Amino acid sequence: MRRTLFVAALLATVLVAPAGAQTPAPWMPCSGINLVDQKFPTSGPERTHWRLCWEAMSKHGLVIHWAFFRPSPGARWIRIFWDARVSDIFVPYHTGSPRYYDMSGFTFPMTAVSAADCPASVGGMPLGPNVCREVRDRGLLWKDDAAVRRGQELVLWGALDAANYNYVIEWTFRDDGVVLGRVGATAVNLPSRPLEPHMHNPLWRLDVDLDGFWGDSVYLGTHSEPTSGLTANDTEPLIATEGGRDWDPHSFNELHISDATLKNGKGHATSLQLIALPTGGLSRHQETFTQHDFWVTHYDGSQMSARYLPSYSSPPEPVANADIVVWFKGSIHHHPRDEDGEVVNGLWRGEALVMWTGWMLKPHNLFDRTPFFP
Amino acid sequence: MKLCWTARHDKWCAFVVMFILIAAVSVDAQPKPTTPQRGPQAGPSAPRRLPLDPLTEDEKRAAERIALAEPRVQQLLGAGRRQLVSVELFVMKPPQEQIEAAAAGRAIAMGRFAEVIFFRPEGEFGVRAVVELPRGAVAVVDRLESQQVPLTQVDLAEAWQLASRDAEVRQALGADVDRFRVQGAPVGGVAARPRYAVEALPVEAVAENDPCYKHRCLHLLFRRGDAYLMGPVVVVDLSARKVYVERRAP
Repeated sequence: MRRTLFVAALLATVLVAPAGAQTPAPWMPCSGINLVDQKFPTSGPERTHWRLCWEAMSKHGLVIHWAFFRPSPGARWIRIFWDARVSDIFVPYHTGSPRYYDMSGFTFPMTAVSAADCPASVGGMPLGPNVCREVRDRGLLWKDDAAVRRGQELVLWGALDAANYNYVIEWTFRDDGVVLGRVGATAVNLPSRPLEPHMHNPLWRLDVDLDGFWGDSVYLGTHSEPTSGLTANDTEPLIATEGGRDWDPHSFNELHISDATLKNGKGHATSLQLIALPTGGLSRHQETFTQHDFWVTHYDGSQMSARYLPSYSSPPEPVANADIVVWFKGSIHHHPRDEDGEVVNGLWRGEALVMWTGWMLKPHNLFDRTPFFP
Repeated sequence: MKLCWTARHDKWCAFVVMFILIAAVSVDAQPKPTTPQRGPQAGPSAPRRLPLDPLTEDEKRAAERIALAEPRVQQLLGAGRRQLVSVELFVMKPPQEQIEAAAAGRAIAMGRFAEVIFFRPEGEFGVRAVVELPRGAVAVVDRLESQQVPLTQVDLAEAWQLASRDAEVRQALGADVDRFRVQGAPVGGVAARPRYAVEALPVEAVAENDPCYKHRCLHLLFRRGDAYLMGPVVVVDLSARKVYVERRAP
């Protein structure tokens, strides 16, 4: 009898142990389709895990409210975002006018998303009427001669219906803890000026709360390599007060966001690196808020509009060891081409194919070793 | 537990042990909140709303009603015409210990807020109220500059009403002028677009000599089926209630 019980208990332990060893999931303040819980790999034992809330809003489109990541089943859940959203999309035309604010200027709705947008055959599943969830292969995670590992990702996207334009707002949460934010401009060129070049500048407001909102600091990652010598040097000076910072492609500028106490299992300080992923370049315009690529501000729940960044950061408050918000401005330089459309009987017919800009938020010393390594 | 140690029941008992262990790790990992929500959705048949679930239509109406009952909002809006611009979920960060508790898997009471924005045409400014829904109270009231208040479908409808009476617009659009309609408000998140649709982009003038400088202006676009008319260029100044028409050659 006791042997039977022992075998049963052993069996139960074996069956339950992998789940039992997992740390408890964070409580999430959302439910139903607005709560997304995704483990990786999608089949087999869990290695990493995302848990997040999203909302489709009329002003900001697809917004991420909370996001937690767990780098291994036995590790703690780590908060990445309190809130992440596109704050505005500024669209100046080359002749100086018009200069549209496609988010803060009008309460544009989101477009519908159907099975044609979000086919199950590519891992898609509509979440309500406006948002698509895709879970898919993302190509190589690493390769070493014959050894290889492919990666996977969770993508949430929806599109803002800004009159003639659609803006695709896309959030990607990868199996290796990387987050990608992209905006794609598509649909129809301005019908009265379909051939006039212009710029679409999405401005993201990223309320990164690494392991909670307290004690975060931001550093400006900077690479220096004078061509008069052979050596290079990387520095990361602290950004002590609010304000804008610039991205120089030769300096590989990044924002490094760290927490006062968060370390990985090796005792190394964990950070998240905000890296620009421009397509061609990053613009500058007369408007002051466009004259920097990165901004750092102290958290204020009422400060949501990127066009007021200069006033939000004046006078500059200290942002070291604080509750911080980082902002990034991307740019899409749209030089119209015949592929965008044509004039037919006084009508403009055609669709501008999607053009993208965005950023990457990459973990640094979040894992103890190479993720998804045998 | 004595039952488990009798030879007669050991197999049954082993099954129960396994079931309990498996069930223990299979329960919904999402704990229930410790504080019930007493908002407009509360009631025996209303689904439970968590703090960051999207606002329901009932909650939006309640937030507007609560905001309008607030004396500071009433004072700013005055007795004249007012326009509801938006009602959106608003999130306030709870104290650090609450955040830590949530991260550790414990339910927290973090409130449920709605940000309500009104526009007052007389004097052209906005009023922002943050409503705490479960308590039915207004937490914050702010005055907004006109530029801080986005234009809406209501403004578009008003702009088209002005433009559609303008002789130059009527002449430029010809026989189709009365077919054009403003796109309706989204139903279930999806807006139905008429075949002859009027859409709008918000105009923000930079030059001081531009009639739209610091005014609320909309550039109207005319869509016919899957294509847009390239002209006329119609800009409606809602502040001055004027219509400007430009015939532009492509």
